[in-house]
Amino acid sequence: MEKITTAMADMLEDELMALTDKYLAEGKDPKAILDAYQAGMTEVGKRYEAGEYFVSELILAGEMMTAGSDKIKPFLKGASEAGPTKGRVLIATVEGDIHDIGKNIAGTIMELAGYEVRNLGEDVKTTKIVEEVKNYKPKLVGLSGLLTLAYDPMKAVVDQLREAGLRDQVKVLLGGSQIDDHILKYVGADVFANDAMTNVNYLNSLA
Amino acid sequence: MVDNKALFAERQKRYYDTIALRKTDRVPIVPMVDTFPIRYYGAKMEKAINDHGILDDLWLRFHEEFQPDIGDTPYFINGFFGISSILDFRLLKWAGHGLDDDASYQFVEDEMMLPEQYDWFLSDPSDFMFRHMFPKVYGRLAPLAKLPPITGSYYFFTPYIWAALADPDIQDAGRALAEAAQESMSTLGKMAHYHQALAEAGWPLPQGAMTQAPLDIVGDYLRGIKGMLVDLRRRPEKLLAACDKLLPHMLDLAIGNVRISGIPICFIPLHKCMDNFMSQAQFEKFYWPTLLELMRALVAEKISPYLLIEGVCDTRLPIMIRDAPPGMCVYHIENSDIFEAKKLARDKVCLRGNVPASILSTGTPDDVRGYCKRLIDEVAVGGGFIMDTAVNLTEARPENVKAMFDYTKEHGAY
Repeated sequence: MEKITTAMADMLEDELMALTDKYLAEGKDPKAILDAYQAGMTEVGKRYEAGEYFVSELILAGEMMTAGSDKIKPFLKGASEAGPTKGRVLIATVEGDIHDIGKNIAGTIMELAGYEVRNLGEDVKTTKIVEEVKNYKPKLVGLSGLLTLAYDPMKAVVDQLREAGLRDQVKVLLGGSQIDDHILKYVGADVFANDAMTNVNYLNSLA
Repeated sequence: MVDNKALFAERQKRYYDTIALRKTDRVPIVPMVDTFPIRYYGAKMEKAINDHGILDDLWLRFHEEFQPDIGDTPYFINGFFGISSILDFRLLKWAGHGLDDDASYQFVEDEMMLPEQYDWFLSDPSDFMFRHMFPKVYGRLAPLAKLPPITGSYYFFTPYIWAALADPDIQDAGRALAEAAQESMSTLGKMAHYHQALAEAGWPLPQGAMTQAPLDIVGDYLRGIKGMLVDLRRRPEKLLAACDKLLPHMLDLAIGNVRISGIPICFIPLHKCMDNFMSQAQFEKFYWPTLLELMRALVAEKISPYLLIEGVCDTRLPIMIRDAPPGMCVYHIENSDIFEAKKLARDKVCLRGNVPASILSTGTPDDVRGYCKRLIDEVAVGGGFIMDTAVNLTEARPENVKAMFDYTKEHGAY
């Protein structure tokens, strides 16, 4: 299985797919193959943090993981398809902002790191986010916004979480290129992230 | 009595001298205005963007009140929604067209070109534009996808092409184009009128053309950012070939527009070269060579490239500054470290920026003055600096905008 992990970690897409097909045809344990993928993914994350890999590799790794899972899943049969998750995360682009790319990449990376992610989409009303926090009970809610117009809706979410008595039960993470310490303070959130691995590291630190 | 002609000449000289790294009397302040005048003067977004008379009045009022060193025009994105409405343009949403009636416009990015369509684009980009991109990005031009290719029809086959034009849907697309043509003529006429009024009031325009880095065209419009980033590894040859193919067209676009406007400054917003998107080696292989060639070709035509360097590009800036034709370029820094960039940019590149949107939108006038002070103390040293926002003024608090202008004019003297 090491070959699977290495192929994933080294971005050898064709080799990874060929190995997966071969191992499945040979009747190797599908769960072990999936675990090897996961180990490769962990290595990708490490290389990203070390500055060897970039968003381009995170996206490619995500696509390889999806393609691999699609091949492996039919073989899992009775076995549970996915192990217990490391926790729930809710993500949304706040009201008024329609940008989705950064948020979706961040969501994929958190999923690949073992978290259960509910993505509410874009231009999501403040009341809807607060309601979902109440019902879904995530350990973290990630608020995304590319534009400066996102500052006030982000603040509104935190204010309403406080009013609803939910603020202590959930961490609030902000994402977007115009987010900095000023905005973190202004919004009253816990942390901000300018790249996808910061989210994962922060989540892992909560465990 | 104020002599607006003299003011125009004085402002233009301050701006051009700053770009050329020559000594000036003080730091010019030229903020990217975006939709600030609409909000600040209490106008309704949807109403303003659909009425050029309102836009013109708001913009002229902004100039009179804040006295920037160079003029700003609403005829960039905000003034063109009439044309976009007629054609049902899909790469933007704006007030009353996919967004609330008080919202600023927002871009939509998607994968418009599939991996297997590279060869079509590479072999015949105009055909690809006409029969694929136009139908995808303009709702009312969707029927153009039914057209047969005209490439190769040199002999006796043209009747088949004319016959295809008889299709009722294609006829409707033709009517849409005719309407867009009329609207464009009308809008451009109004634009000329506003620019004339702005000049008579004493303000030159900041730039006379726009183009983009070839890899940004692939990432912004063709493959989308995800497609472009995975292509770095999956199909690097196609990606490079696409950049090479685009380069002369991006250059022609810029030179053609400078010839029309007469203003030898070309705006080039950079989108996909941020530090964490790709490796430095990939940046140097895929992004920078065709952009640098574009810049050098512009400079050979005596046109200044004005780069808006979006996001954080700290690792890219040393190379971008090293290779820049000296005294010809403006680098507008968004969230990169402008103070570090200055250490390399002296005698090479004029820097512009970068009062953060976060401070302008949520901070106090003292916060703004503090940041402007640092910019003047550390970045304006020796000239070659234009005071501007990092992003734009859209959500800025008016008292913060005033603080930025007042501080720069009071303390920006050399």
